[in-house]
Amino acid sequence: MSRSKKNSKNHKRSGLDRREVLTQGLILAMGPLLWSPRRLLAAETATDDRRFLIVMHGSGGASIIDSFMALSSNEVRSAGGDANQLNCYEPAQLVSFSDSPLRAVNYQGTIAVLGNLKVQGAQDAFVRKHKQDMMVVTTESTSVTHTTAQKRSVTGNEAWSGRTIQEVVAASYGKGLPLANLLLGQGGFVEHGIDSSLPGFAKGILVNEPATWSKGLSSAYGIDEAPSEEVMAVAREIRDQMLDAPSAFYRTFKESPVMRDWIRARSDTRDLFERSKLAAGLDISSGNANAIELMRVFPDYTWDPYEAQAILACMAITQGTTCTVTLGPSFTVVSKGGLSETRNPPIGFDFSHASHRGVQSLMWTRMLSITDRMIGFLKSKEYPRGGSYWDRSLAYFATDFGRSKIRPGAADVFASGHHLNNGVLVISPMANGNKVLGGIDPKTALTYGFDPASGRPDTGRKTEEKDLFAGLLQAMNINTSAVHGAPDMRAMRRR
Amino acid sequence: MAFRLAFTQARAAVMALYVVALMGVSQPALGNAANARSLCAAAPDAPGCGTGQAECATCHTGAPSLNPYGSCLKDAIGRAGSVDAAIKAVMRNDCDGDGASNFDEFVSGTAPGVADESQKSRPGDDRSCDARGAGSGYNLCGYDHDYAYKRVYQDFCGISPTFEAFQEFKELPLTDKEQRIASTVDACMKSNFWRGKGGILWDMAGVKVRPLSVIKAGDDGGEIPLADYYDDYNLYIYHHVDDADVRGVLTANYYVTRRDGAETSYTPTENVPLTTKKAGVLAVTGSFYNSTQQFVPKDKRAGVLSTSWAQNGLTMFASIPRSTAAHFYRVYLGLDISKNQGLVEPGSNFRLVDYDNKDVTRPACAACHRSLDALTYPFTKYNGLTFQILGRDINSAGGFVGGAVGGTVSLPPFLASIVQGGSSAFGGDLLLLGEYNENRMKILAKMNATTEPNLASTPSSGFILGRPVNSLPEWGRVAASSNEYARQIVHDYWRQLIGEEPNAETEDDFESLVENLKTKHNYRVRNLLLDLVTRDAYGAP
Amino acid sequence: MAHHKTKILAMIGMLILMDGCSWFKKKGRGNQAAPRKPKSADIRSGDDGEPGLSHRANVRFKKIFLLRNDYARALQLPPNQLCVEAGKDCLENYNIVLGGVDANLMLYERIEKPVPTSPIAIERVALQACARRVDLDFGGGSPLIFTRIPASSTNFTDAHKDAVQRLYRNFLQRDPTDGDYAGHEKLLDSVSSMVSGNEIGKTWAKSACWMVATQLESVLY
Repeated sequence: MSRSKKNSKNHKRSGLDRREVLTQGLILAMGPLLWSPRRLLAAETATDDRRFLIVMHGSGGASIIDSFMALSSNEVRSAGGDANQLNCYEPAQLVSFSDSPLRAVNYQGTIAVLGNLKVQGAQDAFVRKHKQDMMVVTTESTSVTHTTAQKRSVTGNEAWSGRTIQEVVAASYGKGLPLANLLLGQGGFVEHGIDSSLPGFAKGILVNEPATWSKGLSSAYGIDEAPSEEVMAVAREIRDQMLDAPSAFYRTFKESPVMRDWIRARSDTRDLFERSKLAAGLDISSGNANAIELMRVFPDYTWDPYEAQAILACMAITQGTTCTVTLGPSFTVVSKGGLSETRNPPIGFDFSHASHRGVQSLMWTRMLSITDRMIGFLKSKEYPRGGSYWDRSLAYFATDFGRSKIRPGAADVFASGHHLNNGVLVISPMANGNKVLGGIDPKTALTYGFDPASGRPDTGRKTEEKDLFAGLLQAMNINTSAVHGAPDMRAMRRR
Repeated sequence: MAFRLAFTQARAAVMALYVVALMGVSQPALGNAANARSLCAAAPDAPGCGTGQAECATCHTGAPSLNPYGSCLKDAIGRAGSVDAAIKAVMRNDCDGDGASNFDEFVSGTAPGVADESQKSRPGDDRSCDARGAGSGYNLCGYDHDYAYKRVYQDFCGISPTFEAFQEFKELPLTDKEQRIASTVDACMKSNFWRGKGGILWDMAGVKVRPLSVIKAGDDGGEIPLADYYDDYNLYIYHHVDDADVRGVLTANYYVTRRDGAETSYTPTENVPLTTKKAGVLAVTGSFYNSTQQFVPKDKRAGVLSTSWAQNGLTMFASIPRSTAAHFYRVYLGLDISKNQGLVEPGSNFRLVDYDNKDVTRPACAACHRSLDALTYPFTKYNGLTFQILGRDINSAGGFVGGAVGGTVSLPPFLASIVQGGSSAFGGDLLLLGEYNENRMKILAKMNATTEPNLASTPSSGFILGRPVNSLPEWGRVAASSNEYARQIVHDYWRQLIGEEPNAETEDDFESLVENLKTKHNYRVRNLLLDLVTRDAYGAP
Repeated sequence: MAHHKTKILAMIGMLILMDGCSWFKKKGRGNQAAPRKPKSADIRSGDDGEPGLSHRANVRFKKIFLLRNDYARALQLPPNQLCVEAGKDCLENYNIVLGGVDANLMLYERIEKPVPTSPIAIERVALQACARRVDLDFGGGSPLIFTRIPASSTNFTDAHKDAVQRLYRNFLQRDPTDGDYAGHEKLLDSVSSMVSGNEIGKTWAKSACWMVATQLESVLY
């Protein structure tokens, strides 16, 4: 009896059968993978000729006729339209440029329902600074429902098997990047696509709290009371090999895809994140040297989530973490104090239902301010292959739809509804800059399309969602033969 | 499940080809009954071959984009020269690369155009289930009461049982185990974890209600109170507990109030008094409706389809509220029109008319809009945020909706006196936010004379699932009695409690639960769940 | 004759040994009944044979509400004080990846399958929550899990075993197997060589707690 006990004790002390430990441990650590960080590591050196997509979303309907295709009241009258009934601007508020077809609106006003918030929009400075990279594309959406329209603005209305533009870019340029597709924004712009053949690494990672999110990329970063890394490494190995591997639970259910994904994530993925020092590298804190400069550029990140998103986006792009980020103002109020200090009104651009011009000006100013600073940062960072990160970036101002064109009785303050007709802003050294593709009818303020090859305005054409989708991808040097029926949008690329 | 899905797959193939034809692409018109027969001729054992309409999703992600099966078929048509030959040519292929041929997928009711990793065969353990179970602590041959008990505790009570409770359970005789499982489910469904604010049912309701806190009125109200969607949460949850008939979510002509506390209770009520906290725009309409916050007359009510939230929060400013109708179609019947699901032809007598100048009769648009518009017409008397008095759109004159910012309504001066005068002053030419109004479309037609001049002719009767309906309550009744509604309810709980889609092994359980919900359980969710937890799909490891 | 006796004794010894081994295994599984021929209606484990594969393999991960409750009870901590990051309940930071919903962000449906950061988030929560419990237990009050663990001992004492048993009962609703105990003993060996003197006990406790809290069986079901 004592002999058997002793033998059993020896058996217990030595733990498991060695072969079993190795087998189970290997299975635990590896496993068949759709999304394999190990494969990624192998492919890390496959390409460093990347492009970067920044989807800058204007939630609620960013109107192009209240910005870069604004009409003057004189133009409307000359065309026989009623300037008192159309959303057009007086000369004092509208800036035209001798060296650019772009317009700018400098609206000064008050939003009464937001505690008489003063609005002092100045779009002209942005245009002067960035016009060589700015391209406006006239568009026609297909839905007046926010979430549906937002999703269609990033899928081209299911143009590429239901993939989002972010997923396409991530699949094309994201191999070897730990977080190829970062979704920092909100609404339909950050929904996943529906193409089940998308490589796993290209699927979007949702970030809901940019200021604190990066800690979640490490199981111990920033936890002062944690045992040392060495101790945790041993604990991890013992847990994986001696506790989990032989357990009845694991051995019974190990075919579960959830189990396999879990094991892969807590081992390979976690390893990758730790080796890349992602948690520390993307931490928005003064302890992170990478963040200090950006915290100065975007000083309101502690209370303005859009600024926190911008910091995270800039770090992720320039630290080799991602090739596409999606960010933008939300539907929730952002204010440092009361209503009269509102920086982001409730429901974003859609608050144009209450006070169209003031809200459009406020929101455009907000987005352009963030964009200007991001461009400045990306221009200052050298890309490993030469040039700057900005040289390889494309910012797409996705939005739900336009706004209605009616302005009752020459009012300065009026409400607007949703409207399918609009245009979008694209900013990129890869785009056909300083250009407006398409035109606008001064009598109705409705935009019309253009010839995809030459860019000549064409009143008989409208740019569909899939055309815009394809054109953006083509500008980023991505083959769009998978997009059904999309033409070569040559006019959208820089010549 | 297999029958239903394969039937819809066949219909999908036909609709897909129909859509392609409507797109006017330069190929012969492909969507017709003859081609649907070709599909069934090629796979004669595929269940569901026969009459009916297809889901487009067999070939498309969103029309006209093709999924892998659609692409396969398109290429094959090009080579084979006829649809018939093409369908046959690819029938044994595995177009989506998931290990199952197109034929096998049709027969088993899965999608030949969507890769499903679970189709791939797993490494085998060919021993009998008895042998496999020995040594694991699990019954691998069927229902395992110990396993099920733990799961039930975790799913319904929100916590694992204690070690002691679990040991005690394991020692019980079998019949006692069955009773204990049932009583645990029953007891925990009364808990706040299950039915309270922020609980499991609350989150399930949130998927249907799609709240937006910034425009909430009442408790936890936002900056621009437009409607109180807690009334919708309460309506939903009330009908999912105890002895309530779950069809009431779409048919109730009453509302429900909630009392929070150690136990949360839900009580039906004829009317909901106007909230005293952040009433917002509800205060104006409420002043015409006896200080209530739900304004639809009793005989016009249809559960959550006709609440202030449905109208102010979803319909908003739309004259013909298509997105409202599509939303309910999707969340309650599981049919997503934006994915070309549920496009049931309203019938050859139905004429699609562009009442609101949205160009819906264009061929590319009509494919969806024939169904969608017909689905929407019964909603058109239920007003959203349009606020019109004597031909004057109050929203345009000073942004009335925006006037609700901060919770109290700032009425433009001219309006304050009008409102004080009462509705009788207007002779019917008054359209209030969130109300039911027989004249809504006429009023909107006048108001939008330049942009939507034909609105007045918009009918209020329509179609749902191919059946004509004359009112929204009737719409609700047809929807609630449909197989789609029952399936969606079972699917919602299946997703919550089992966490994966029904598959070849579990689809029988799924189908029988749907059938039982409609029959044996008489639409009581409580009984459905007591049934579900006894199934192998739930309790067999 | 002596030779035969030896043989017989050896055979008896082998029989005892085999029986002893299975006895230990049974003991490790908490006093299970002897295996019976399984029937479909009621099959309980034998302790013989290789645990087999479930073909259904329907496994889910514990969502935030279940995880919070289970961890809180296992560690006897208030549910909203398991961990604090940036001044707030850290579970809220990981709400979405742990299967929560957030209507303010218009995220109404919870994820059913884990995302890559789900297990990492749980490991963070577990580490902090375990550290809290260990600090309390070693802090001079009435310890609830780590009772009488010597601060600097490198021996795997009964106090260590009792603590391991409590962890398994609290987190996994079962007793540890021999293999589980062996793993925790090995952990102590390793910690003893990496950490000095009075920190050994606490360090072992934190990492032992973390190992059990993040075992597959604890976070999946």
